Amino acid sequence: MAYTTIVSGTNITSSWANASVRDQVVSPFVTKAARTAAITSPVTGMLSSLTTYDLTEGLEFYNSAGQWRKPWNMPWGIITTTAGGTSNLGYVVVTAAQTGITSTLVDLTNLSMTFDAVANRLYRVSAHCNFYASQADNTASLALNVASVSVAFSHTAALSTATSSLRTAELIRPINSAAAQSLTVKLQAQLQTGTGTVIMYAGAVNVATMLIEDIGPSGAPS
Amino acid sequence: MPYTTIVAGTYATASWANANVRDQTIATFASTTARDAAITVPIEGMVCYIGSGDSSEGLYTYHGTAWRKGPGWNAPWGLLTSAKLTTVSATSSVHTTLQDGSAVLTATATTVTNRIYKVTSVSNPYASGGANGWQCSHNVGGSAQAQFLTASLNTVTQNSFTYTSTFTETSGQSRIFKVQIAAYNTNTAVTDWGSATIPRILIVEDIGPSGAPA
Repeated sequence: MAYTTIVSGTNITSSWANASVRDQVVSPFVTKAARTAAITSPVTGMLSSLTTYDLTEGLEFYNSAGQWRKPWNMPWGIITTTAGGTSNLGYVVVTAAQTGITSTLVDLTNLSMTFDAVANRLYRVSAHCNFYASQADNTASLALNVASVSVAFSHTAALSTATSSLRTAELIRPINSAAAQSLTVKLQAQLQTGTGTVIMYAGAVNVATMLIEDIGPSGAPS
Repeated sequence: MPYTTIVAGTYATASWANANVRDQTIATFASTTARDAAITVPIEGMVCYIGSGDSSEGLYTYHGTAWRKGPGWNAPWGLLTSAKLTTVSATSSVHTTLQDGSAVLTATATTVTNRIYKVTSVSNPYASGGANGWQCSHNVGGSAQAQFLTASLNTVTQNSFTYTSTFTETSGQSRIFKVQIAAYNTNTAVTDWGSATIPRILIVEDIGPSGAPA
């Protein structure tokens, strides 16, 4: 009974009221556990309002895949992490340099985050790092590694040998999560051309950063 | 009374109906003013629709102290402010410190405590004063949040860059977001090019909560 018009003389039965009122209003709950305890047989499209007074405060819908989610057809914003991140949120800011990067891809320290990806959601990773080199005209490559596979690279032009002459490498890439999984996303770097080493420089203002956002659905609800 | 199963013989009292129907349905109002006049004591978790016919139109959720857009506190709220300039901005001739330039790219908006904002800018610099590099900073409320660097630039042709940074608000207020620029390596001028087809752009987006509702 998704939408019913009441006419004069309608007898409001308990089954009508439960289907047309109880299951179609926005019920508030102080926790997800309270909701689970109260609504033992949720109906697709049901809407609840979490009044948790924390990051999860807000609306969640019971979708056709049997999950309580934020609205499936919208972006969900910055992710929450299970490892890495700032206060378990999907961004990191690094202020420490990393030296001695050779032609072998190496993980950049503290530029890694792990999160529970939802199937059929699209995530956007935005990152940047600053580089210089031990030898003039070396170049560097900033890489995005997802689930142990380096999937995207951003190259610099020729680098200087001075910390006062850095080059910023930017990297923005989408990640499509085809299945529910724990995903580790990290930044890596390597010497791209030349025979020296490159340095990922970071300081109080010249920071290195990585941000992960959910930007919307890529398929059916899950 | 967050979720009540009705059984045969239930008598719908006014208090029951107000708590279980009025306060849990999605009421529509022509404006936020009309809503605030009608709902003088909103309940946490309440939802309404504002049919204002402008950029404010949409769903709002009450989190105990304020009505917030869409699903409420747990969601990104999208665009906060933006600016686009089709004019050039040149630095003063002798400097290596970050400055506004001759035509600063800036936007002002009121932020909310415990929200995270993503700042994205597009710049098109060239080394107008001779061989030089370029620095660019995302400045929020007078503080540089992130700095982006290019060791060398062409002296004639622009090189476009898209920069992204985040800003976590701990005290909501009217904030000035701006892109500052400076020469790098040598004390000669740099210019951030802007035109109708190669504009300078600043976008500030709310991307979600960083703490408890505020």
